[in-house]
Amino acid sequence: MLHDWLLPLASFAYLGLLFAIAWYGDRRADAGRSLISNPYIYTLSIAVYCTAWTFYGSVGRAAGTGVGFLPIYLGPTLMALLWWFALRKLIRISKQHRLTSIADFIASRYGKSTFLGGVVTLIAVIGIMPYISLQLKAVSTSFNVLQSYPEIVTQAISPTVFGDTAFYVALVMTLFAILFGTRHIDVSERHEGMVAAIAFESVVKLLAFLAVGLFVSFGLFDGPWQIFEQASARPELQPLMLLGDDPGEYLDWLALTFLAMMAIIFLPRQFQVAVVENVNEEHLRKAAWLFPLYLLLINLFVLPIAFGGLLHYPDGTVDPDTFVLTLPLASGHGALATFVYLGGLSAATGMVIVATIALSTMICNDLVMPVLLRIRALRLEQRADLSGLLLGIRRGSIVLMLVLGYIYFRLIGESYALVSLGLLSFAAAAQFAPPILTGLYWKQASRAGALAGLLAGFTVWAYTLLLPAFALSGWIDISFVEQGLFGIHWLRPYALFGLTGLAPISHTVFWSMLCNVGLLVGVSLFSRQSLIEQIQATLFVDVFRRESSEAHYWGGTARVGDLRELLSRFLGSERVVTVFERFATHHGGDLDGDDIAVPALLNDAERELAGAIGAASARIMMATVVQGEALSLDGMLKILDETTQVIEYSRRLEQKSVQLEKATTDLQAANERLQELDRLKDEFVSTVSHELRTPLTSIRAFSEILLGDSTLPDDRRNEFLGVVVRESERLTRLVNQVLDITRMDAGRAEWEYQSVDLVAVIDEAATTTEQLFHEREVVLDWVRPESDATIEADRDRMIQVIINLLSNAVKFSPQGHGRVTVRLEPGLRWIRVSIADNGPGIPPDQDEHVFDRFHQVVHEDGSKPQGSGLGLAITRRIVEYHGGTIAVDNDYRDGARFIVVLPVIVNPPATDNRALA
Amino acid sequence: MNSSTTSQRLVALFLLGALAFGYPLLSLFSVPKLLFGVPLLYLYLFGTWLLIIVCAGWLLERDHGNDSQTG
Repeated sequence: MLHDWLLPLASFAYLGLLFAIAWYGDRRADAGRSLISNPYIYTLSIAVYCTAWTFYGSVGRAAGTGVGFLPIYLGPTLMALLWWFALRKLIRISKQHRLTSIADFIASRYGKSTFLGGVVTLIAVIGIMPYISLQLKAVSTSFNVLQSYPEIVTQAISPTVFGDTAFYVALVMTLFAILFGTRHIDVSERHEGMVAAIAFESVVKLLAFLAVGLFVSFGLFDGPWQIFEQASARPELQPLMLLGDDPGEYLDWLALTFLAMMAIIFLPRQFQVAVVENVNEEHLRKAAWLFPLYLLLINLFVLPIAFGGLLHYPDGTVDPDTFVLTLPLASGHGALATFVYLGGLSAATGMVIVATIALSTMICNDLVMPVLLRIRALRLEQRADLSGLLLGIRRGSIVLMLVLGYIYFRLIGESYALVSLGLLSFAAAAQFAPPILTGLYWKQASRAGALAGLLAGFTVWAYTLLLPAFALSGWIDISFVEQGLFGIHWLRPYALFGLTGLAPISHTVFWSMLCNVGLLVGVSLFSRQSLIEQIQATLFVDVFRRESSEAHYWGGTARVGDLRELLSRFLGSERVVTVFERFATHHGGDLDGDDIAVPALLNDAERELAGAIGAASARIMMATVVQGEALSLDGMLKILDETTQVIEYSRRLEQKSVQLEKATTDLQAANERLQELDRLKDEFVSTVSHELRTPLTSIRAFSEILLGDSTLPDDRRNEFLGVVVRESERLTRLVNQVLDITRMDAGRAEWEYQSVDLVAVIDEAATTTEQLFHEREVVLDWVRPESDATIEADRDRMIQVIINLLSNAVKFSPQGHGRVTVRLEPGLRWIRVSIADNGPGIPPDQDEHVFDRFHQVVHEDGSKPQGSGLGLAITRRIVEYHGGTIAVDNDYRDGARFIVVLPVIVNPPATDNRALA
Repeated sequence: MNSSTTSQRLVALFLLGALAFGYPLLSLFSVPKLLFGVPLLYLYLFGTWLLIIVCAGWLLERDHGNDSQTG
């Protein structure tokens, strides 16, 4: 009823519009004003989940099983609740490591294993094949239905390929996917334009479905309730409003829900839009409830349409999968039918574009490139620009995917309903869930475990779902389905080990998940992880605990120039310039070609490369330019160890140097002291000589007079002789003192300790110096204590001390009215003797010096008192040898006051061997 | 309220949802009865679905902006 040319034209016009949107989206992205950087576009892009399966198949499924179509949407709704918890982690990791596909993610998590990546890719390609054939089937069926209405098309596949609508659909979709996904020379992982187009398609398919839903509910009938009431009157439709009583049916329901939960993240195209194309992980916050809302809306009219269709075509001549088209057509609404067709086209093309782009990235990065890079003969590492090769591989992969999908469609598409085809792919994609989910939270999950689990799960899937599908279509002998492989009964694919009572899909889910999870956990528990696996496991599991992956694997060195060359081969030189500039501004400094790249740059380069060719291949390529060993965890640990040791060593060095410094200071001080002592000794000798010369000179002078002048009267002669005698005495005293002090300094003095009454000592000293006091007319005020003051001391030396102090006091007392006060204050352990005069006193700055040898206080008037200058020095030594102290009393203002404190029991210093001190 | 609390509440909602959409709760509504002209089972499924979405939206949006930085 529609013109032959109208439908193809509408299709191409619509695809052209999509292309324009994609082009605009890319332009905006290049200009830095991203079209897709908001949670709504993100949500709509995730809605690529709703494919032709949803659009046509849901109604078909509802017409067959009632609510049986719903688990496919309830599962994602439940899973969306966990997105904030789990998907966010996936996104964070993928962004940090520049992971571009599900294969890349698994390979990277398990030690950047190329082999594992390849296995995942193969599983994905084989697993998604039925899904792509589903889209081809849906589009070609819808096209044929529209073209040939009112004639009911029963045969979707024409005998020849060239008469087959699906072939042309596949052709157009191939072109479209190539144009969309691999237009750029820039082979980076993100496709903003594509996401924009997908979001637009999601709007179109939702509107189209709502339109047909409203039309059926309110146009053909008087509201959904009327449809349900009419349907409930029909006994054959009654079971569709219930769930079966068989518990097995609930198990199937559960299995479907589980599959859908896994599919919403682990289908390659869902991973692409939800993880790889995610702009900002905050967008998850809205998407986690808006996406379920989208699902709810698009499913709202599924049941009314299904029942409407069943009521409208009670004889079952029309395929329920096509109700959305046939119902409007039947009532003459060709325009609405065309709109619905475009909605279905949107759903199908969206899926095909994203799935093929995601898979082509996987095939290129995780299957083809690792192989090509390993074939030495190709000398790929020496080719100047490989981005062209990458694009070629990706385009080839897209063609391959659609060819495979088409072949699958030709082989078995006809005998399956849309939903069954889709579920086949869901079950395959679910195999990726265990390695990824356990890999996110369990560090011990190992490469061997993941590999074993994946292979086992995939084998079970292929054996229990894929092969029977071929068998049922007549391409393999059906007997193996019925009798089991080689006639072994318990190997029947639909009743493995005799398990019956489950639908084939639930059966497969159970066995494949059992094998997958069981082997993953079991093998992981009994295998050892390599070091790179351990590093990756830690980086993945603890992704929220560190700011960015600052673990540097590369222990070797690479020239910046080599790195630049390597990157430009894969990324194109323009992109590389941007990358290096960004690094330079971030980390500072120029990047000169001959410089050695810093570890952070190596990391950046590897990540950048991973974005283009996958983590595993990136690692291989990096190894070609990095000289020296790639660092393992072992190496990282060693470095850590070494660092600790170096820190410890330097700490000890520091201690030593502090000690050395101290020793040096001590030595310096000692040296200074020695020099000082040397100087003092010289001074001592010269002072002694000087002091000796004075009396000697006068003795000599008087003796010469006496010798030369015999005419001297007797009294003069006697007088001179007296002088000679006195000077001789002075000389003797001086010599004695010098000897004394030298002996004491050298520790050779002999001490005789005995009980000495200090009162008696002072009395005796006073008597000895009586003459002196008398001469200078100085009064001695000797304040005796009431108790006696017995100490242990050398009596003669004590007398010497007091005499020295008394004669010193007399010397400084003013002639005539001088007054010397002696006090004795006995204590329990100490006895204090103070001797004060009323002379000029001692200037404060000379307190200590008065006890130096030959020191003589020079007063302001310049007069120099007489005396040897040794008295106080000797006094001090004697007191100190008794364990006491002598000091000038600073507080005494009326003159000078010396305070001697002596212990009651003698306590001589430990070392008698004191140097000249 | 921090992100971890939100995550925990969402996980709890997930468990509730899994329970609501599973055996045996589901079997309680599998009766041949129309409510407002709609089969009870359909009403229950879509109603619960909407309720979960509303709860999720409420949980996710209420702490929006407060703690977007916390990991």
